[in-house]
Amino acid sequence: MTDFLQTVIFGLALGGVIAVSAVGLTLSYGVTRFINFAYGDFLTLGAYGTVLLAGFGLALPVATVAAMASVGVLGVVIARLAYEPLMPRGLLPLLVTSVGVAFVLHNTVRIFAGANPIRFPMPLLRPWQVGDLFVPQEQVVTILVALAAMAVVHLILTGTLLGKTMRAVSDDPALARASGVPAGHVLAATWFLSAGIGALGGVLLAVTQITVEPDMGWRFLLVVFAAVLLGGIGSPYGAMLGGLVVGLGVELGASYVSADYSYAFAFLVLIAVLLLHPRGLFGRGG
Amino acid sequence: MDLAAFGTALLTLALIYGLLAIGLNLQFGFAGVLNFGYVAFFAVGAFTSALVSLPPPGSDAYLAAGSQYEIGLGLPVAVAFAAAGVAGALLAVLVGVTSIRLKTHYLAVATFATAEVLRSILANETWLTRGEFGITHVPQPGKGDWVPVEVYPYAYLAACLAIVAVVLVTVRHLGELPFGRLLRAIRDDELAARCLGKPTTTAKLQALMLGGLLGGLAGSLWTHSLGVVHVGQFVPIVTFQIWLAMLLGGTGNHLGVLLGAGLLTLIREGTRFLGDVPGLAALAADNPSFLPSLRFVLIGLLLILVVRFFPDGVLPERRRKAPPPTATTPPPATIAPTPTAPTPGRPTADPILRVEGLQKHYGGLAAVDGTSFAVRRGSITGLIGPNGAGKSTVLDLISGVQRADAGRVWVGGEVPPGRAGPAAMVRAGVARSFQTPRLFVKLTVWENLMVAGADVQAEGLAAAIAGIATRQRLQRETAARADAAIAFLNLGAVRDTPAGQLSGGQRKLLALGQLMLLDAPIMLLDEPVAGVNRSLANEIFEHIAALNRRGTTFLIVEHEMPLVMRWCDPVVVMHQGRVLAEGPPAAIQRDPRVLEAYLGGVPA
Amino acid sequence: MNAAPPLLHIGRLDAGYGALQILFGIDLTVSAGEHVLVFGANGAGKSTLIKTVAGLLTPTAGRIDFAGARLDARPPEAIAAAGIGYVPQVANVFPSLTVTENLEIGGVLLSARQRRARLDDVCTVFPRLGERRRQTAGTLSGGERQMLAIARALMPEPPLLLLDEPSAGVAPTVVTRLFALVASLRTTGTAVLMVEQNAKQALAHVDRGVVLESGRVRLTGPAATLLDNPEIGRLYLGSTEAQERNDLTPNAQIGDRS
Repeated sequence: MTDFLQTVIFGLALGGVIAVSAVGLTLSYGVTRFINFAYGDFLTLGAYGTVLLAGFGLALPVATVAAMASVGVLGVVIARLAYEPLMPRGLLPLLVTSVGVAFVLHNTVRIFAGANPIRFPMPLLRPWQVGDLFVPQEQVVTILVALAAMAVVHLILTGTLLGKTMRAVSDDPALARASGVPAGHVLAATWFLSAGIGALGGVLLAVTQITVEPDMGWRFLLVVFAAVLLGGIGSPYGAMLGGLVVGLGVELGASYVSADYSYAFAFLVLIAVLLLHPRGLFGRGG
Repeated sequence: MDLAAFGTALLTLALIYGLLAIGLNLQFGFAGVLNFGYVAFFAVGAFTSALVSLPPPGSDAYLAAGSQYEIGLGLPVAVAFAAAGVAGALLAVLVGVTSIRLKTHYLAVATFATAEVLRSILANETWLTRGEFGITHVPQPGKGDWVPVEVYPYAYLAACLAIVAVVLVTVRHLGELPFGRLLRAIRDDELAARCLGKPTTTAKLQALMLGGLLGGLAGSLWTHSLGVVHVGQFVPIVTFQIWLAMLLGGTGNHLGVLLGAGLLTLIREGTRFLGDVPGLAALAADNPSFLPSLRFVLIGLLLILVVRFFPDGVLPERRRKAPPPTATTPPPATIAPTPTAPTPGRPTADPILRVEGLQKHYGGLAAVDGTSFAVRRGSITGLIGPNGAGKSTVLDLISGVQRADAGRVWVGGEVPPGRAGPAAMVRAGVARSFQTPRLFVKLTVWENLMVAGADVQAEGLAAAIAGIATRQRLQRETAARADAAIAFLNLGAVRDTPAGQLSGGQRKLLALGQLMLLDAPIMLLDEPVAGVNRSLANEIFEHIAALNRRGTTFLIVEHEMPLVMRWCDPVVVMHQGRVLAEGPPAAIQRDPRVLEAYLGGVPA
Repeated sequence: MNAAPPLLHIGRLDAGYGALQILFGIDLTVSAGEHVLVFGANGAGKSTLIKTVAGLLTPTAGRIDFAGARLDARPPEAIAAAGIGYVPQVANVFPSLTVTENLEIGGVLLSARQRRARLDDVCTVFPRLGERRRQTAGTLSGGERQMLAIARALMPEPPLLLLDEPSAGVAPTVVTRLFALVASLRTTGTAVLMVEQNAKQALAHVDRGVVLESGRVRLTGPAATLLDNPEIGRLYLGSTEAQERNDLTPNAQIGDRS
């Protein structure tokens, strides 16, 4: 029983990481309708950016926010230079280009930071003990930050005019423009939010695994895809739920089936969802 | 460095990448299957070939090499090579039957994930693959045996060259056969191909299999050239290097793709010399992963730049020149099937097509709400009605493009089998055109007609391999009919022009031509003259009437009332999903209910 | 008589989809506060005309002037900002947004305070919507969606409202109310350019009618007497002698540029 609860705590923390990351990806999908294969590298950049800024003496939360903002800006720049000119040409050029962007990004990180893992500058925290159960504070912090982040995203989407215009563009871009919504600005804001949230996902991932390495995000990408597709692509709330399900699934699978295959379980979930129910288990039709 | 040795290694690698790129090109450039996990075929081929050819554990060779693997069949390398191809093809079948129906980006993600699952298995099932350690001493056929060690790399290169040459010639030939033409048609517009009666899923599966086969063969060549195989060789970036080779060369063009692989190899291996550039050398000394990372940054950048600025690659898809029209072009009369109408132009009373109680709802809205009518054999029946009356939906339901919620369709007194899709309806004798013609835009006018006219049997992969004599006879017959249709529709000037470059009117004519080649006794036309100028519109209807005189029955949705009233008899009027009136054109024009319906009245 | 230029002036407008030309040299004006109905048989180009004015299609020739500014080839958001509200035929609400949020999108260019004030105004004009403020638009009935779409377009108080087939997908009883509602916009001076195949009913509520056929303006006149014109039947259902006459008009030679 204790083992099980222990696994659930890790599963919830990983689920929180995946959920946050999945929300960022699905936001950009909602407005642009293409799956950004370079998204995982926003996670990597967020984690490395935080390490770098913390190295300059910034407090960890401040460094995280600064890294999120910088990655957000980078996200907008990349979209303007690489993606937006291709939008009229359909899906394939965008997909292939985003793969190219992914390779440029994580290999650039590798050039500057080296290929070896670096320790994430999270202070060592003593786990809480509840009976036989050890509750690592890192995991608890991750869960809380993930919950807070999702609450903020929810507030942005439903409480601000920007969020409403983003949802309107996602529903029907032509109608939104004809209603006076400045689509270009909304698109830029979406890229910014998507990449910034991805950066936060990367920081949380670094907290749970204690180290950062250049292809952490690229390797994590399929796990995030699994959550997004499970939740119904383009639906932020589905992505949150999908993230939790995948996180729990990966940890439970690793504990009880085979530790060697942890992420592969997520990929199998992903393939199964695609085959059985391509619109996602919680996705709306149409 | 020994320049000759380096060049040889480079060329061998380029050829292996070329083989991979041709395989991917068969899957994507020809059948439009977006495979982001192509490296899986390469990996399966490499491991299969190694395990089949390795000396069995415990044998002398095994002990001499100090090996530690657990499986080795000890079969000849030639057998291993074939087994690798089969393994690749089998994996392709597995991928195909599970995910070929997925849409673009879902397919990309699913194939990407499949390759990663496979890599995870190869990394973890150490009894099979020795995991990250890999398997060494993979046999190199004839090395030191009947080929001296010093010239072995050259001999291996020559063998690769021969194999790739054979493959290139074969796939290029395949591209010109009905099978290849069908694949290119499917890539351009799969629904249109299905509406011409083509079994598109089978064809795509076959293309996927051929691509898998080549991937497996390339894996075999690779592993025996190195003598080593380990899972780290099959990371996702390999897939995208193959993509880059294919895009660099120009999708759809095998020779270009081979050149693209050469360019890729030059770029990849050229980066080795970056370490000799003075400024970079210092950086490389500090960071051992500097050079490989720089190489991947370059590959990523190239991928971005090629997609953006050279969408057609260095060698764009060849403009295929059709064989010249046969000297013995038959007169137009032979394009269509032998007349079956008793008296040309005079419809008989017996209905060739009948729909009863058709219903189709979207959400709460009934688009078609209990439509029943019959089309008499040999008639040109007009189907008119105000916007949203449900006319186009009725055509979709009859042709099997959409499924009816209720109701039945009879063709010649029979209900076509089951929930008939478009291909089944074509086989039952019902062909259709679309309001906006759905043509194969990269295929020429002649090829568009050839695809429409080709017999399904002649298009199969099996027919492409065997049955050459029958195939050529069928080809000649179809070609003669295609040229007759071109003459009949006055499309001679654009015979070898890709359909994507035609004007609106020419597209309409070509769509009609495709239906002529299909030989269907019943043709459903959706606004055959929309967007066409008056004189050409009249001409199109004259063509329709000419076909009708030879026995083809037409059901035509059209808004150009003067033309409907002149050419169609009877005219069926739909309003709010039902049949409002039916009769000869003069009666329809006088019917007050019809004008009322057009002006927004509620039907009595 | 009236020297002031019209609110909307469409001159020699050509438009279409890619190689397919739909509109041929359309001339049309709408004065301030005037309600104009465009009707005609299927495929006459009515929706294409509305979409081109709304900026969703770029004209290939001709010009569109609105309130003294040239609007052709401007993006749709600029046209909305210039004061033209647009209600498309179907799919005319944001289905995953609530009624209030849909209206807020309509007022996206207003200040927060103006937006709140207009939201209340609009909900008094459309009490049905006021009752359903928090309901998701995707769950509304056809008639309610149409009301919401019109209300959303009216949020910034545009001088001109474009309506594309407002009766499509709406129950017949609601259609009457919908037309009455559109007619009541005269009190605020809002001009209306409406496309509708429900011509008989719609004509009773507008000032002037324009009949399109094959992408050309064929008839125009006061709403009250337009339907008495014997040409109407021919324009909808055709007649063989008229067709032959038609073939001789120069317009008939323009078209497909093959």
